[in-house]
Amino acid sequence: MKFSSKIYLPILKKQARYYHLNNSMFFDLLKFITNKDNDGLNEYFEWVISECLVDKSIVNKLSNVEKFLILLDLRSYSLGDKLTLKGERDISIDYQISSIKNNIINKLKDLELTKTVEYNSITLFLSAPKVFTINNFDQIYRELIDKIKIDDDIINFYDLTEVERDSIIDNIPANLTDELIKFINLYQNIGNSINIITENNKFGIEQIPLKVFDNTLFTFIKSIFNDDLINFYELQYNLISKMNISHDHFLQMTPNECKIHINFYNQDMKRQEEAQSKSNGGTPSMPSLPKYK
Amino acid sequence: MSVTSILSKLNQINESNLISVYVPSAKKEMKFKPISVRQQKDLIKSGLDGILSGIIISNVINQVITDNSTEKYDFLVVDKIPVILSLRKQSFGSEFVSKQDQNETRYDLDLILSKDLSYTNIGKTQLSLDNVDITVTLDVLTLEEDTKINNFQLDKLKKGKEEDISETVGSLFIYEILKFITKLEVNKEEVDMKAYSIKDRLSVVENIPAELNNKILEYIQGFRKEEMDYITVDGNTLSIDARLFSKE
Repeated sequence: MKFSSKIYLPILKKQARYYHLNNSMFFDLLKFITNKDNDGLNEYFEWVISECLVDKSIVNKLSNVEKFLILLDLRSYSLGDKLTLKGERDISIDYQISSIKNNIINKLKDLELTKTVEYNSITLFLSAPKVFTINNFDQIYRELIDKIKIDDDIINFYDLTEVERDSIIDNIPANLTDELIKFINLYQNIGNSINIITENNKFGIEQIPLKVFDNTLFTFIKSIFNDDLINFYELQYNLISKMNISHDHFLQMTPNECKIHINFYNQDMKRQEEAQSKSNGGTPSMPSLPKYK
Repeated sequence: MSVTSILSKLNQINESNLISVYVPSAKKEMKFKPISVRQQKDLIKSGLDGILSGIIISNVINQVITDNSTEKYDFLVVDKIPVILSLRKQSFGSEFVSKQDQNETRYDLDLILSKDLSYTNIGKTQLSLDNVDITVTLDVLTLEEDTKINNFQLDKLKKGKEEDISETVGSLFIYEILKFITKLEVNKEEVDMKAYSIKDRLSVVENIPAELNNKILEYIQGFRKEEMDYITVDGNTLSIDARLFSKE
């Protein structure tokens, strides 16, 4: 059994457990970000979530907001909880990722975020969009319908291809669209009332609303995973060459674990240096490794 | 459950909710399937296209009418308003509240649909000039032809981004004239306009004497006035645009 953490999913209204991000995954994320490959990164985020979730049966049911919350947690555990944003005149403002996550969960947890609408013998089960990037109007209906039930027959939309979903939407009577529009408005209102980052006029920080029908969630997650790839290669080199950690072991560690190891190593070197300095009468000892934030 | 079986069930539901609509050009009632979610989305989406919205929604409506008719029939543009209003009523109810700035106007679609839309202009009309040997034959075009010309026009408008609004409005008139001319006779030589490409027809229309053009516009205005009268209630004219296709 591997170590895992838990998170509350406010739309599915249940707890879920997830494994932490390892260096292998983090490395790939950095490469996608460095290469500015947004499509690849988007697919990779989806893959990371499916790999990290303990209960694989809920992977297809996760909304983009819930994926966003899981990725916030993964970022917090892998690179640290502190998020620094630059305001006006390069003033840095620190945020806690866990607070951002908890604020969203607290505001969503008591809201009814799914809906069932009926017309004749057709029942539509509506939920939040699943994908991170919504580029056009056509995608919205495809994303909102979770299941369709006619009499006693039921079909899950997330098991279908886009073409199959569209062929069903093509045949659903428009009498149900007013309910669909009301449901879209519910999420638009959420976007207007819940912020990922609150506006801070004093330091020139713009608010980032929790919008689910565009690319806001993706852009934010991408920005908080952005790290220096070269720095990370250096970290890898130091751990493998100086601390004799195997390459395979390195890939299975989390970025935060690596930093802890480096810090221990540096403390150890410092102690050794001090001890040697005392016995040698001040001769310099082995240099320590660079510190990783 | 498979996609095929759910589609078949949806089809059954749609077939059991057919709407009977009086089709002016056929002078009889015909049956139509209700508007689908996808069609409603396309109708609403057309409202996002700025100056092109009017042409795009016209095409979407043409498509909805053709696709939803249970029998194959060459619908004419005169059928457009009564059919689409009947389909709108079935899906979203007979009341429509139009909101413009602070004002709200309520329309009862039943009231509009109960009116008699017997176009006096349906059928071929010939117009000519006294001093020049030129005669045009005007007729009401089919939805298929309407869409074809609209697509040509859309293509031109999208390409000519720098074209200013006055030119765009001007070109709308040319296309309106183009749509109604079916034949042209110059010096006893007859030209069947439908046999030519839209581009060629456009060149012909641009060379029609202004005096005859004015007569053609008068005919078209008469036709459009009958449409306007049909959708006008208590002095308020219902706009056939994207807003019509939702309750909210």
